[in-house]
Formats: sequence, structure tokens, C-alpha cells
Amino acid sequence: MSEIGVLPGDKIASIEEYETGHNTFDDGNMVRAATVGIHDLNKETRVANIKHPKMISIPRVGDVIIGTVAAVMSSMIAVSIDYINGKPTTSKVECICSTRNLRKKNVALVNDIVTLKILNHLNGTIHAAIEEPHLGVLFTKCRKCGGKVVQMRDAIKCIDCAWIDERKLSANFGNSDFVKLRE
Amino acid sequence: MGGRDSTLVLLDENGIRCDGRKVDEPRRIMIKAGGLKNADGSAYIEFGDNKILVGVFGPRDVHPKHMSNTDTGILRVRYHMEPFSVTERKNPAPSRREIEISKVIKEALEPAVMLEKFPRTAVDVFIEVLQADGGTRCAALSAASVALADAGIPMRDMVASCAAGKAADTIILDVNNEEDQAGQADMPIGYMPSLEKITLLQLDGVLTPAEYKKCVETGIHGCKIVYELQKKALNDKYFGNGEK
Repeated sequence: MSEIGVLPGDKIASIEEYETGHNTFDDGNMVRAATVGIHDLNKETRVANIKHPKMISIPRVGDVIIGTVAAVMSSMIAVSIDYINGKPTTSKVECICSTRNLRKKNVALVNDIVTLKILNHLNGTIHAAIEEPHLGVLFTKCRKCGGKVVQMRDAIKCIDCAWIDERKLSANFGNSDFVKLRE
Repeated sequence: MGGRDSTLVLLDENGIRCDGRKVDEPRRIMIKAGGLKNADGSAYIEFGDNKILVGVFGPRDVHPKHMSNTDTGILRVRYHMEPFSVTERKNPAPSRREIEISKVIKEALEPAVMLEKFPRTAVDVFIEVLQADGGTRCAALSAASVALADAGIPMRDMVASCAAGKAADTIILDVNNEEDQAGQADMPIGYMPSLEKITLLQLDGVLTPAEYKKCVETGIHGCKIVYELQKKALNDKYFGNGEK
């Protein structure tokens, strides 16, 4: 692999030699840089990438995000993204997450903090998954009284009114710093 | 001598302009990438006596939501002149001219910025003119391009901009305020040097076809000079010492 600094529009390689990867595009003849950064020509995969030191506030496929639930619909939730791979972002871009396959009465409620994994960018929308064990609700409150809740196996119980409710809880539920932030 | 102000000598018999430059010589240009901590990308430009600061935010969520585009991102540009940027206090409210220049700069940047990668989002460019001396739209466009690159927003190419014009029946590079007021024509040009495409071309004045061609060539020559300085500014910030 060879690494050289490039600026937007700089020629990196011919389209016969390499395919476009992250932060690159082809103009029909040449593969060019789309951002400032270090170009990385992978001779095994024949893909040209640019590594930019700043992270764009749009998550990529495979990124794990933490966000606040903005809306709950019958078969999906909308989440406003606050962290991408643990790094804070101020863009407040939203993603949607299908909850159709989860047999839960309430997967998450509005204003819950959830962690999701980005699946794809489809039709101008960011799609995320919540099914894996480490994904799900990191912080929530009682839907009846707004009190603090504790985990009971895969359910939650309010310590004030004893209301038992369901959520798709993350394996990290109750262990996150967000609990301290919200209290 | 052509022009409306008969007392001002725009070009003397030695081919020297009213500010001491040659006909094909731009003003002193200094560009600095970065500088604003809270913006995603920023740039500062001194283009002669013009001093302009640009901040870029985004891609970020669009408010109000109905302004978002499901197929592509949107670019929003705000060009604003400070009240102290000109000799007499300027009303800080957006004027007709500022709204027009905001639109012109937005349309000049759009071919370069790869907005289709960020549907339903917005990229905001805030341009603050701290000191104005003719040619602010070109200087602002050049600085906005550096700020967008600094923010890491994917672009097909940098947009470099410089004006050409006609004063005293001569095609000149980088029109200053006096030449803009008293000269015969002003042609701001925005140019993508690597792709060799023009993104902005305006003309205020009358030129013959031959003069028009020469004016475009002169403007593009100026854009290439600006492009070298844009590259230097980004290289200085990201790679140090102006070298890649």
C-alpha cells in the first residue's frame, strides 16, 4: 500500500487500475480524490480510498450509533443520532430502525437512549438494526410515572410504582455513562 | 481612457493600473484553512483589501424538514457583509445584493460538492465579509471552497474564483473597487481547475466577442493562481510546510 496526501480533484489512478472506494470518485477516465487526506491504494483489492482526518457526521454502514428515540411507530422507530462509534456528533441526523420482527410490546419509547448498528443507506434514509444482543435500549424511564427502572431479565420494573414493562434492552443497559448523565 | 470617472487614471501610459499593478497581475492573496474551532470547516482569505471569514457546518439535519430533499443534500449559503466592512455603516439586514450573491455562490459551489451522498441533509456555508474592496464574491467563493474541503465534505474539485474585466479599453485581471466603479466591464469567474469546468460566469458591461474570449482566458488564468494558493492553504494545514 502506498500513502500520499491529496486534495479534492487530484488524480489518484486510472479507472483501469483501481476502483473507487471511500472519498473517491471517477470522472469516466481517472479515479480522483473527493476530500483532503492521505490516499491509500490497496494493491490486493485494487480499491483506492482517501483517509480524511475529520469524521463526517453521517454514519457509514457497519457503524454503531447511540441516539435518542425521536418517534415510535407501529413497526419502526426513528432515532436522532448523537454518537457515531462513540464520538459525539452535532448533526442530529435521523435513522430508522425496523421493529417488526421483535415480539415486544414496547421496543423503545420516545426519548429513550438506544444503541443501533447501521445496516444501509436506502432511498435517502439511513436504516439501522436493533436485533443484536449489545444493541437496544441503554436508558429508559417508567412509562407510567417517569420513575427510575431496573432490569428484570428481559423486562424492566419501576422502582417507584412497580410497573413492569418490556423493552429491547441492550446488554449494556444500566452500565452506560448515559444513566449518570440523565440523572 | 474609458470609464465614467474622468479624474481617475485607471491605466497609465506604462500599462500600470491605479493601484500600481500590471494588467495581468492579481492583488496580494493570502488564504488560511481552519481557524474556527466550533465550525466543521473554516477558512480566512485576504484578497487585496478584502478580508473574509467562512464557516461551514454539516452535513446536518434540515430544519424545517420540508426543505430537505429525499434524493440529495441541499447547500445553503449565507453571504453577509459586516456593518463595518465598508466606509459608511452598512445595515446588517440582508440586502438585495447580499441575497443575490448568496444565490450566485451557492450555484457556483453546487457542481463541485457531492451532495447526492447526503440525502435529506444540509450543508451550511456562512460567509462574513469583514472588509470589502471590490471582488468580494470571488474571494468569498474561493474561501468557501477551502472551508468545504476543510470540513471533509466530498467535492469533485476545488472552486477557484477570480474576476477579469475591462478598464481603459484593456482587459485586466482581478478588478479592484475603483476599476469596478469606473471601468467598462467586470467578469467574475468560478473555475474547477482539475476538471477544467467553469461554475460561475457573470458579466457586467459590454465586450466584443474577441474581448470576451480574452477576458475569460484572463479570468481562468487568475483562477489558476488562486487555486495554487488554495492548495497551499490546505497543504499547510493537513500536511505541513505546504508539501504533500
